[in-house]
Amino acid sequence: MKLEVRDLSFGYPGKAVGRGVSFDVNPGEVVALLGPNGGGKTTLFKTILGLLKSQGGDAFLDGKSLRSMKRMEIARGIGFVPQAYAGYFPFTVMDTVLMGRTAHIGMFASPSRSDRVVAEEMIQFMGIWDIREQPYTHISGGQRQLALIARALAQETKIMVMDEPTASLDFGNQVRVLDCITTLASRGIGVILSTHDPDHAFLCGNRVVILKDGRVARIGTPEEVITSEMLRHVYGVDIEVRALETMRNGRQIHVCIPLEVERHSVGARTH
Amino acid sequence: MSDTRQSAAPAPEVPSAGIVGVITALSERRYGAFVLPTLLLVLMFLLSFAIGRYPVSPGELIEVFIAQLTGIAHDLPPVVDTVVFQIRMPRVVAAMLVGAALAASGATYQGLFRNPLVSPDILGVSSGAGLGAALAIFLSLPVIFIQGLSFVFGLAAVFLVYGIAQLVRGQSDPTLVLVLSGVVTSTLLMAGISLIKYIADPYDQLPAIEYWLLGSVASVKLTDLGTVLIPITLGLVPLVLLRWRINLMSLGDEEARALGINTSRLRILLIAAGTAMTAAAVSISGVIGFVGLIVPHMARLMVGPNFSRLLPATLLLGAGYVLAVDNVARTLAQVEIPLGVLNAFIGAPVFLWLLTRGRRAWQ
Repeated sequence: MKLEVRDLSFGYPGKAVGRGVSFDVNPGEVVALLGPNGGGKTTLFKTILGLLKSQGGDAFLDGKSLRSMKRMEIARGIGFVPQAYAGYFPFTVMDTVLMGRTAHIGMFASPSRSDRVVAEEMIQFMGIWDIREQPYTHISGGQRQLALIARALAQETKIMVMDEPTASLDFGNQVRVLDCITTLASRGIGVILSTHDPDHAFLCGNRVVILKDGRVARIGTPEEVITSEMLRHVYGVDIEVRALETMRNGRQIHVCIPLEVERHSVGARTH
Repeated sequence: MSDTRQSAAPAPEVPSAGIVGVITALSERRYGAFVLPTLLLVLMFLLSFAIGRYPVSPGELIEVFIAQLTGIAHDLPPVVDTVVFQIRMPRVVAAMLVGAALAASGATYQGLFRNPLVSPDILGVSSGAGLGAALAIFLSLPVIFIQGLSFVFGLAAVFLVYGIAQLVRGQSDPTLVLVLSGVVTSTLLMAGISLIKYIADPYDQLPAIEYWLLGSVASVKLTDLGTVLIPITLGLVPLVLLRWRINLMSLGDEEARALGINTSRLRILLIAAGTAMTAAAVSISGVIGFVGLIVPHMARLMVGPNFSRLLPATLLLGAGYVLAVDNVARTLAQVEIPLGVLNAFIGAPVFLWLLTRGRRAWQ
C-alpha cells in the first residue's frame, strides 16, 4: 500500500499553514519529516489523516482519494502514533492497545478473542508485556510512547504516521523506538515520522522531506538532503555533517555536530 | 506483520465446559468487583420495606411477593399488601430508577467530556427541566404536565446548548464549546426559574416550585414509573450497545477519529441518550445533584474506567445509593427531609472523601 500526497494545501479554517506539498510513502520505506517548529509538520499529518480538511490538493491511499474515504476506512489504512500524553482515565495498557482495533470492530461490538490476540502480540512486540495490566496513567513517558505505537500496530495498517515518536524519551527508549521503526519498515510497512533530530533521520530514514514555512524545501536521501547548507537554511544555525565509520562493524553513518555550542574548560576562566 | 502473529500468538484455549468453565470465565473477567454493589443494592431493597412507620420483614415481603405472583392468598393482614405495593414499591422503584439513570448518564458524560468532574446536568438539562416544572406549576397545570413539561424543557435546553455550540464552534475543541454554552444557557434558564418564582403565588405555587426543585420521590405513582421507563430504556440501549466505543471518546476528538470513530455522530448520540435518561429521571424526582458526579467515581474505583464494566457498576451503585439516601430521608426525622437536600448533605462529604482517597480514579 502506497501513500501519495499530491500538491496538498493544509491549515486550519481561516489560516493556511502550508501548500503545494507532494511526496510518496512507499511500502517498506521510512520517510523522515524535518523542519523547524511551526513549519507545519503536525498540521500536515492531521490533514493526511483526514482530521483536518485539505485546503487544496489531495492524498491518495493506493490510488484512492482520502477525501472520499470514511473514518473507518482511513483508520484501516493509516495508523497514527501521537506524541505521548498523560491520559485522562486509568485504562490499562491492554485496554489502550485494544482501542487500536476499533476500525476492525463493528459499531456495536466489543473486542473479540482475536482482537485480544492481536493486541497481545503487539504488546509483546513492543516489549511492554510486563506492564500490560498497569494503568496507562501510571507508566513512564517512554512506556506510554511504546504503548501508543503498539496501539497503532494493532490497527494493522500498511502506512504508519508518527508525530515526533522520539520526543520526550530518554536515550535508551529513543534508540528502541528507532529500532522498532526500521523493523516495521523491513516488514513492508511504510512509515512517515516527524523528528527534530537530523541524526535520527540519518539512522532510520530512507528519505527525508524538509518542510519549511509550509513548503517542501527539499526531498531526497538523508545523505543528499541533510547538509550543512540545508541545516543552516532551515534552522539558522551552523552544523557540521560528518561521515563516520563505526568501530564495531565499519558501518558508514552521518552525524550532525552543532558548531555554535562550545564548551568552556573549567578553571581556564580569566578576568 | 502476519509473520509475528504466528510466532507470538498464545496457544488456542480449549473452552472448558460446565460450571468450572463458568466460574473460570467469571474470575477471568473479574466479575468479583460487581459482588459488592449487587449485594448492597439487594440489601438496601429489602431494608427499604423493613423500615418506616409500618415495618415489613424480609420474610413477610417474600410472602406477599409470592402471593402477588402466584395469586395464592397469604394470611398476613391486608395492610401489608397496601404498604408494600401501594406505598413503598413505587417509591423504592423510583429511587432506584432515578439513581441508575443519573449515575449512568453521569458516567457517559464524564467519558465524553474527558473530565471526571462533569455531571449529567452540565449541558443544562436540570435547569431546563426545572424551568418546565416551574412553568407548569405556575400555570396550575395537572401533575402529568409538570412531568411532561419538565421532560420536554430538559431535552429542549440541551438541544439549544448543542445548537449554540455548533454555531460558534469554529476550530476550537468541540467539548469545550459545549460546556461553555451549557454554563451560559443554564444561567439563563435559572434566571427564568427565579422570575417565575418571583411572580408566582407565594402561598400556593411558590412552595410547590421550591419543593419540586429540592427533589423528592415521595409522591411518585406506579403509573409515572411506566412513563419514565420508556425514555430511560431508550437512553440506556445505545449506552449498552456502544459501550466499547464510548471509551475512545475519552481519548479526545482527534485521536478517536484517527482510530476510526465518527466522533460528531457518536457525540450527539451519547448526548441524546444521557439527556433522555437524565430528563426522565428529573421529571419524576426533581433536581437531585451529585449522584451523576460521585457514583461514577465510586464505580471507577471498584471496576476501573472501561465502560463495559463501568456501566453496569454505575447502574447498580446509582440505584443503591439513591435508595439508601431516600431511606434516610424518610426515616431520619419526624418530618420527611427532601431527598435533594439530604443528598447534598451526604454527597458533598462523600465526594470530598473520594477526592482525598480516590485520586487514582482519574490519575
